[in-house]
Amino acid sequence: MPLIVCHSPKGGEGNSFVAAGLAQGLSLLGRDVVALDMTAADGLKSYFGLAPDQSLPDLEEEVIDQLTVGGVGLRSGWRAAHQPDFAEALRAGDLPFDGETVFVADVASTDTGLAQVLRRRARLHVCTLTPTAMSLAQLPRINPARALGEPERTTFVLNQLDETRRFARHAALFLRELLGDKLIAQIHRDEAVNEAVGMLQTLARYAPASAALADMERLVIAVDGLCAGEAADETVRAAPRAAKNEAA
Amino acid sequence: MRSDAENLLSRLGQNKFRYQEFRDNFADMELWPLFEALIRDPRISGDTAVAGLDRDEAHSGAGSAGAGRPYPASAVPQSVAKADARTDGLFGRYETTPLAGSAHEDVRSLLRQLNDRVAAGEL
Ligand SMILES: Nc1ncnc2c1ncn2[C@@H]1O[C@H](COP(=O)(O)OP(=O)(O)O)[C@@H](O)[C@H]1O
Ligand SMILES: [Mg+2]
Repeated sequence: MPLIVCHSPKGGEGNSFVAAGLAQGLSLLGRDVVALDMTAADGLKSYFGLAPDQSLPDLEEEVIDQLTVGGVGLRSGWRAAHQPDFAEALRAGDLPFDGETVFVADVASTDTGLAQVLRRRARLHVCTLTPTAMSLAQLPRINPARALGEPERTTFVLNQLDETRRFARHAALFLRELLGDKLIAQIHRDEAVNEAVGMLQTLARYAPASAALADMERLVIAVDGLCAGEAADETVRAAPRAAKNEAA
Repeated sequence: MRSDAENLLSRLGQNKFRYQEFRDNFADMELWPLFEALIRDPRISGDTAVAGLDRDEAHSGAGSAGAGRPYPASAVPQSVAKADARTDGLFGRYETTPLAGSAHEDVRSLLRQLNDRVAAGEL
């Protein structure tokens, strides 16, 4: 199931920015991508150059004119995700997270229940952190049930890295050691991210040579590789099950 | 040098600017008490705080290069230590409680191992 869940334990880290960048980048790699805003704040669209008054079609709505930006479909999943039977629908496979389309979901930091439900069905969980003490202090909350080192489909992105700051440098070193290859990318702090939103443009359009965009590219390639790997694993895992079903 | 910096400098004329990379070695990394607390947190470490390092150590051979090197003098950043010394006034009552000795030692040995691995060029 090609669902990528973007969820950070804290707001303001760049979760929406990363979700948008992933959707845009995976689309450039030729994937069929839908960016799914599951937050009430409705901020994901800002990274697609859209104005605040532009509303996204609902995830479950039949729409004739899809809203797409640069090939990425945009949908709001907030309403659907807050229906009482959402978890059940997700379990039953009533939601369109199958097939070839990659769904990149932006989940609000406070919506931990939703994040948990989605993470169970996701191919990958991307957790964005910043090299600040307040962000690091949230680390134990990401998956309290198990140690960070245990195998799990959670990966980390260190965003808003500013190497002129001492704590940021130390935090980056510390996280690299603590998370190992689960830390899949770091993205530098870059004012172009803010300015692009102000210009109602995507970062790729507004600042194609920006440091943040170059970093994002590396993240996209890492995520694409991991998703492909997971897909292969899923086939292997599914094979014995399918054989059993046939025998029955 | 990062390519974006290199491009910018060549556009602006190299000689007017000084390029500086802010990059620390592991040896320069200060052990902030927050880092210690995280390493000790069972939700992060499981039960064995240094399990990951034990595993790696098995490959590199424990106590190889630089094992005898003294541990960097300050485990706590100096600015923090200075702040701790100022215990009078309104906030004076929030004196920091010392960390449990054994946990402290664990983290020190962990950092010492990190140090060694950096010295051995593994990190
Ligand atoms: N790499 C970056 N460099 C500079 N600013 C950034 C970066 N990433 C995010 N930001 C800014 O940080 C703020 C929070 O980003 P956002 O994606 O809305 O976070 P979240 O969804 O985690 O709350 C925004 O103002 C955004 O423009
Ligand atoms: Mg957001």
